[in-house]
Amino acid sequence: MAIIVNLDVMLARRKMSLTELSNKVGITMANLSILKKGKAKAIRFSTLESICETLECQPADILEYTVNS
Amino acid sequence: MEALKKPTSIKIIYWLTNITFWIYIVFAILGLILVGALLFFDLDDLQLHVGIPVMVDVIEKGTLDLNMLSSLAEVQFVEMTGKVHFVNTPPEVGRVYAIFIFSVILLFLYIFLIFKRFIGNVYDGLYFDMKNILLLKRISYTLVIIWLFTAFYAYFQYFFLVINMNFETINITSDITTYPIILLVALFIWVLSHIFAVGCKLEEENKLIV
Repeated sequence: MAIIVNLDVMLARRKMSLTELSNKVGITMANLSILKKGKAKAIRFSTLESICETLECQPADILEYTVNS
Repeated sequence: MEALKKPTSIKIIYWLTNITFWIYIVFAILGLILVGALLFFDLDDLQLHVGIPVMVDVIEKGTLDLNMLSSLAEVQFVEMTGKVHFVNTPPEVGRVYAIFIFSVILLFLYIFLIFKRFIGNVYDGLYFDMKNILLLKRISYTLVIIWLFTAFYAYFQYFFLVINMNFETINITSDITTYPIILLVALFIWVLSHIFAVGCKLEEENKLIV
C-alpha cells in the first residue's frame, strides 16, 4: 500500500500502549488494530484529530506516502 | 455497537417459513406414500386427479343481457380451458406420474430448505453475508430447474396423452402451460443476489473505515 501508517512508531516514541490509546481516544481496539496493521481503507478526520491530540503530533507523523515499486 | 432490533416483518416471515416448512414435510410424506403406492402396486381402478390442462373448441351460441344499456347481445362460446382426470389409471401411467411427483417433492424440499436457511440467516442479523448471496443464487438456479421440469412435464403430457385423447362431442385443440413467471422470479432473485453482493462489499469496506 502507498500510504503507510506509522502509529506503532508514534506509540513507541510516546511510550504508550495501544490499549492506553484506545481508552484515551475512544476508538475500539479492533479499529486501532486495523489502522496499525495498515488494513484500513480510510480514516475519518475526527479519528485522526483525536489520535493527533492524544499523541501530540501532526497527521504527517502518523501517515506517510511511499511510491509503490 | 448497539444491536439492531429485529424488524417485525422478518420475525413474521421467519415463523411463517418454519410453520409452512413443517406443513410441507407432512404433505411431502403423504406424497411419498402415494408415490410408493403408484410405483409398487397395480391400482387399476385408481382415479388419478392429475388435472391435465386442455383447450376445447366448443361452439355454442348464447345471449348477453346488458341491463344497464337495455339491450341484448348475441355471444358465442368458441374455446374453453379445462382439466382432464383419469377415471381409471393404467399402472404404467401411474408410475410415470409417481416419478414426476417424487421429483417435484424433492425439488420443492430442496428450495424450501435453502429458503429456510436464508431466512434463518436474516433472522440472526446476517443480512449482507456471502452465505446468503450463495443461497439466493442457489434458489434462482433451482427455480430455473423447476421451470425446465415444468416445461418438460407440460410437453410430455401434451405429446403422450393429450393428443391421443378422443371424446364423443368435444375436440381438444391444445394447451401447453409452461409458467414463464417462474423464470421471471428466478431472474429477479438472481439480480437480487448481485445487489446483495454489492451490499456485502460495501459493508466490508465500511468495517475498514476507522
